[in-house]
Amino acid sequence: MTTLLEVRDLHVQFRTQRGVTHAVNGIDLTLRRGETVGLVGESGCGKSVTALAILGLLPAPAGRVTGGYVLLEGRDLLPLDETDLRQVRGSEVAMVFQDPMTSLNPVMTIGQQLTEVLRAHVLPNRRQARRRAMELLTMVGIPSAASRLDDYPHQFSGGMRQRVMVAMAVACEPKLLIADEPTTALDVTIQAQILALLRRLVADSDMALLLITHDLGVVAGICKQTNVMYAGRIAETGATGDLFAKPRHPYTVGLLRSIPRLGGARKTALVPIPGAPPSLTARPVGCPFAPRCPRRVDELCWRLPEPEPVPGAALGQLAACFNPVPQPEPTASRP
Amino acid sequence: MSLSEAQAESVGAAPPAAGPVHPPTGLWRDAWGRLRHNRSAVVGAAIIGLFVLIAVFAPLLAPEPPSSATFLERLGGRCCPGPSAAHWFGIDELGRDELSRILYGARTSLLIAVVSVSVGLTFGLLLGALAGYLRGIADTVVMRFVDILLAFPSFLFAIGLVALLGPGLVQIMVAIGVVNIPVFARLLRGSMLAVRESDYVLAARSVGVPPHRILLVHMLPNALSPVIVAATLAMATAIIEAAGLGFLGLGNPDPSVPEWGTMLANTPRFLQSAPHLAILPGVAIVLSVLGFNLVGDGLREAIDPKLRT
Repeated sequence: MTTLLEVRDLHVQFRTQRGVTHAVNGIDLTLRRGETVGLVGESGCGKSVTALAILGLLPAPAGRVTGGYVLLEGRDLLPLDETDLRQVRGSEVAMVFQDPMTSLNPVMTIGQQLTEVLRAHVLPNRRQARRRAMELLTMVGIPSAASRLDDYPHQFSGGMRQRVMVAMAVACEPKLLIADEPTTALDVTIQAQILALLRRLVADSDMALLLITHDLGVVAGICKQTNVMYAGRIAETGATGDLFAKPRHPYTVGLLRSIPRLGGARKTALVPIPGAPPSLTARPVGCPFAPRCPRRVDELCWRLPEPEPVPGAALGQLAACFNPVPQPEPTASRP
Repeated sequence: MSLSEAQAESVGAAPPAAGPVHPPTGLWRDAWGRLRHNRSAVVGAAIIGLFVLIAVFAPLLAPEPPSSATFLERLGGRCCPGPSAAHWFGIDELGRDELSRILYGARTSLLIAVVSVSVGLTFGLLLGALAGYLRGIADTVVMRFVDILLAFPSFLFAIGLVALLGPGLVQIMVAIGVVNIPVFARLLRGSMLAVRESDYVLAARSVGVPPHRILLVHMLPNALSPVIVAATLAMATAIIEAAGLGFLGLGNPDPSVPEWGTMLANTPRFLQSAPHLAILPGVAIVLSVLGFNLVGDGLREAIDPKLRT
């Protein structure tokens, strides 16, 4: 499989009235063609900002990329101007957002919004675009698509709207779909439907999926590779199975311990991670997780750890930690 | 296996059952439905409708031409006869039929309202859209200009403009229109800024929708609703301002085009002997303004809540 997207040492800053926020501090991500990769982390760790930076959609003028590369098939997207970026957006990289209730224009019909994407990129002909829009709605599982094209968003339920958003995103068969918390705003049963839809779309095409979520269960379900983010940096990365079975970064261990499990021993209490993520207004000095870390070593953690292979870990599993967890924690292992 | 995964597999990709198929109903049609059920808005619309009919059919409805002063001799030195069977609204100080002049006056007032609000809307929307969409220097320049215009009390500003441009119907309409420009510009800029940050604009940008469509199709229609309400209310203000200008002697100097404010202005001398000359044009002004205000308020209620979803 060839490399589709390569993010190298990406830095994003926001200028706010209270100073500069260092939202993303040197992230590396790699997606191969057709692969599903997860990006997990707590709220505010820079997941969504990373996604917006890839598409050049950071809110101007506050947010800007201050370093790094975003290579899509070897071509750097960061220096592109708005006109070139517009060609990339939708046709090569597309995005699904968190809240389907607000992501559709309330004064346009579903059909208008779908055909708009198609006409901007591949099908300038109105009638052909409409026919394709109908196919797309059917493909994402919306019944009686033909009649629903002329409906307005407020006539759709949340799950249906998210299906429409997915249809809009995949309309021009992009090589990469970024789904930013696509299920967070939905009911649990609808979440499962949307995930199944995404999984089916990825399986049926050679589209890669970057799934951004804070839900480890979602990642375990559909991602081959998982990246755990903390305070604008990658804490640990690796194949999903390895990462969940043998987490090496204390943060990953903490995350896995803090989710409830069905069928687990009833007396095992959930273990929260003490403290809160660091404020990103100051440039990070040393390991950002150190203040909350049970394995902190004061002599080492004043430096910034880079993701590195850990002795004894699986191939490709990297942890940004000077004192990685030596062996699988019993609570983190899977039956 | 995690919880979510288990559910994902058990539910599978089965599409949900087909829901009821709705008839296509637009957002504006919904708003129209709510407006129809708003009693005061309906009353307001009826009043406006009545005045529009009067304005259009004034030549048919009016018993006399508005400038015909043929009853002067019949005044017999007494000013001014009140309502009678022949002259329902009486006769004014120059012997003209008051009813005819009020009916024709509806033309002037509605014309002033529509044209001046259109002038204000055209330039106000242009400036507001530019400022709200482009931000940056364009925004700063436009908004400082708007601030300067807003620094003048609006009626004083209109008086100054009429004094500058000279008397005349067109000048009055331009003056009142210019006074409205900063109001509309500021309003539209504000709602453009809010819409600009909305998820659907970001979503549209994320799939490569070109900027002119972002502005015209995604942002403007969603930002427009407060301006529509303000424009309706501005019609009422325009009628009052036109009447005010007329009352101050800055109205239309052509006596053959009756205007309610000017008619009021001529009455103080006869207030004791002929109060109807003051009351009747005043009632016409109040009624027409009331109509626009009722409709404007109804529109506000009909449009706003839906667009916030």
